Amino acid sequence: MSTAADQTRRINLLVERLVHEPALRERYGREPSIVLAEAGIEAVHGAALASGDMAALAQIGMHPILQMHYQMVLKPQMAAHMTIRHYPDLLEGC
Amino acid sequence: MGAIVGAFATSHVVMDPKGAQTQAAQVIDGFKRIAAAVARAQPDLLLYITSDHMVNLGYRLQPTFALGCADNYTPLGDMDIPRLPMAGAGRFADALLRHLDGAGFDLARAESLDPDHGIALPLRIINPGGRIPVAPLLININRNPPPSPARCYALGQAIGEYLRSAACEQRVAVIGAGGLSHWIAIPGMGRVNEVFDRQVIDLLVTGRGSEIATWSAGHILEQAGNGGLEIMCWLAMAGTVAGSTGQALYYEPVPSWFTGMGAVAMDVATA
Repeated sequence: MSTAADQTRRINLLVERLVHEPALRERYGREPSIVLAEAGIEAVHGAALASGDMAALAQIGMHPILQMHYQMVLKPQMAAHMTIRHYPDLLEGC
Repeated sequence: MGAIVGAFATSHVVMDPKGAQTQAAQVIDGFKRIAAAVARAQPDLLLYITSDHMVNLGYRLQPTFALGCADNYTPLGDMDIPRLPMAGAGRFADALLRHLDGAGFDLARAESLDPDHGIALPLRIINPGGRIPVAPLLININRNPPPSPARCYALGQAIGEYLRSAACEQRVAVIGAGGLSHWIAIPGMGRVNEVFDRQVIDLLVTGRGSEIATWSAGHILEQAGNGGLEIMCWLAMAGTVAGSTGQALYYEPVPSWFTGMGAVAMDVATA
């Protein structure tokens, strides 16, 4: 059994990989418990990670900025709300 | 002989303008006013100081400062920002990095960066077509502990000394980007501290950036949230023209965007 600090480190490292590795992200969507186990993350953290609830993610030590990225992993449709498409000046350049 | 021909600070994001059309228009106008001033100044390059949103400076490796030394960059493409290449000021950045190394600031060298919205969004308007070469300098406000305001201001001062020295041959416009107060995924999210934001702007435009440099990072974190630490980028910009006064281009608290938005232009003639 690893320490809380080690679990926090493992969780943040996994989230960073999920952001950068599409294949792992896709697999995490299909079989999260296996991916978590492979990353050495204890099953007790699975519920918080599955919920995506920010308070729960903070409780297990996920970095606030990585929480934002993780939300996109869980709910890719959220990216539609973070866009410059409302701004022709930005979209087309001036 | 090098020269600082412009120095600006600006917020670096926009969100849905619905319900905040007036504020959104101010933000876009702020970008345009900086763009016009940059165009008038005709710099050889832009030194663009900002934070990274854990895209390039992530969790695995957490340098405090990193300087892009590449000859070109392609934006990450977050926020639907077109992935159109922008010119990089690699040779300048290499010389600056070597100078700073000798001045006590050993920055991480980045031979490749994927600029996220913090860089790429304002430059859509400030540097259309990516024609003016850019040297991106990343201040890692997401590491724990973050760099101190004093360190960021001193870094700016060291950069300013180089930019005005005989060793630098370029006319440079400096842009600090990020802020103002916002709380990201921590208690307080949604809060905007207008008093703090206006204080920061007032101190900068009255030539008192050195007062901000006496604050602790903890003070900024408490008063402006973890996103508010991005004012370190404004502070580093102010350090390059230490003592200069300037003008606020706008300030808008935008609760629906969870942040205070603003921009300033420094009077480089008083540097």
